[in-house]
Amino acid sequence: MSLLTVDRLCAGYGALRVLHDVSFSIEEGNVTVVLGANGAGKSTLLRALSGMIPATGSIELDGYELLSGRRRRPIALLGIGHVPEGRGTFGGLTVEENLRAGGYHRPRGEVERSITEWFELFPRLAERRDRLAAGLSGGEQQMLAIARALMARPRLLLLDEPSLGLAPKMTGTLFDNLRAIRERMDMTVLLVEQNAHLSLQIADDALLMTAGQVGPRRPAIALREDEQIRRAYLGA
Amino acid sequence: MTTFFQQIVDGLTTGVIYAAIALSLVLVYRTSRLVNFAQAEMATLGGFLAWQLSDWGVPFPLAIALAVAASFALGATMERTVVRPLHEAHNELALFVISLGILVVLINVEAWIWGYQVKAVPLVIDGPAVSIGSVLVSRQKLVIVAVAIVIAALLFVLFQRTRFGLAMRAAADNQPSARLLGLPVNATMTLSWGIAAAIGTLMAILVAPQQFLQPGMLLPVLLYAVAAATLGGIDSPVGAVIGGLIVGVVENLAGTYVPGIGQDFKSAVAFLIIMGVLLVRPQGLLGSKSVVRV
Ligand SMILES: Nc1ncnc2c1ncn2[C@@H]1O[C@H](COP(=O)(O)OP(=O)(O)OP(=O)(O)O)[C@@H](O)[C@H]1O
Ligand SMILES: [Mg+2]
Repeated sequence: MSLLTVDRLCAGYGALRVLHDVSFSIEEGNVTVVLGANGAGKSTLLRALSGMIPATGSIELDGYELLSGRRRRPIALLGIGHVPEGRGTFGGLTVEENLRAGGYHRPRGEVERSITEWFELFPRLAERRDRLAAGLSGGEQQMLAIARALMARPRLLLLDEPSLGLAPKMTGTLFDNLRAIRERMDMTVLLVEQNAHLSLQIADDALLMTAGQVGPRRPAIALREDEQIRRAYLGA
Repeated sequence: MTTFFQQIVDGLTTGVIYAAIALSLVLVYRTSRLVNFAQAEMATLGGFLAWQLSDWGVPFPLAIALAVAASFALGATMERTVVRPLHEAHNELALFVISLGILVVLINVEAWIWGYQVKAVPLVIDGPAVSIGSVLVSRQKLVIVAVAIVIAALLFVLFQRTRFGLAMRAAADNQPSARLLGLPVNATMTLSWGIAAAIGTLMAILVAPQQFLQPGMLLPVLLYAVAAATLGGIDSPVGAVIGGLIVGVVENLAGTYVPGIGQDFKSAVAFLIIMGVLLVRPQGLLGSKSVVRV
């Protein structure tokens, strides 16, 4: 069953149109990776989905149309979490406060439980819970940004290049964590990633994006084998 | 020695006023990235409201409460109507010009309604000055200090102990992220402007007997408050308080002790010292670095 269905989505920045009639759908419970060159419009696609930029067309989340109605409800309340490019943690807030902000709309008791849970999964964050987020390393900030988005218990998580700027070892840890999260939570993920090698390993499906358009959905496994893809994205 | 302590205490009691206005500037800056030069005049307008109500026979405490409430509403309305659209369009220059415009309009409106004749605002407390050791402090100043401490404590509780306060800090820190998490960003901005205006008005009423209520009453204070907020770090509420106290004390001591300077040049000395600090720490004592990065 598809959780998200996007139809003829157009979006951009002011006069600049970046997405041209994008249509695709993603399956509930799956990890779908979006691959594409720099400037293809991957981040723009995620921004349009989460309402950071205006868009036209149709975005249906579990049958609910996000683009109808004059005012969009906050996406966090609709069950979408977005970890933006560049992380966007609250540098002047402590690690724990960042998590609390993520759980803003959930009851207090649940927030406490979730914080404990994420600190178990990310021990590095637990050790730094009272430190300001600005003082964390890039990898720690990325973990924090993801954990913060997960505090809202999203049904759909949008992840924009989580491995950006991370050392290979840190990237490995990050993907291990993503796998652990997947096992723990019943969640659908739309992942934009430069690291095609790792992302195709954890993904079920893949979408290729070129110049503001999205190609047909294909199984990740097929792309791993595809000679053209290997040359373009896997550096083989 | 007595003079020295007296100067310190005088400096602190003046500094509290700078700190309060600096605090309102910081609250507004954090949400709208605007140093609102109209802040002090909005406070003075609140002072006029309180005076007018009391002149019409409303009991003074009630007049104060009404004026503070009206200022809160005015501040909140300004944010909703003129400030937010420009802030969302990232039009900093237009915002700055609008804030200067509001300053001028308020001065003219006050002058038009109430004229330039000084209005006698009653003291909230009367009686002989209190002596603490060898130092003398007027009762009204003690009230001002007490009120400032209560304001600071309430703000601390709001920011550090409440969910909404967490949202206010998060929204000030990174607005796009706060929106993505569904935090009530717009409400935090409106409330910040309301609180800032309310604090200003309360202070304006309390200092009016000594500063003489007339249009532009707090403009000299505004200058010091801007300096104090910059010194403390324009995005740091704690910094604003510390900056205000430092500016108050430095200004007083310079006037008394720097040879050949006297009362006329004491403000210049205060500003020179602040400039020195800012050359070393552009973000101010407690400000975050990103604020000065452009
Ligand atoms: N904030 C912005 N304002 C104006 N134009 C933008 C903005 N962000 C991106 N663009 C433009 O939109 C196009 C797509 O950018 P986008 O960031 O979506 O690409 P991307 O696929 O995420 O690239 P990358 O892999 O480098 O992150 C680019 O041509 C870019 O110049
Ligand atoms: Mg991108």
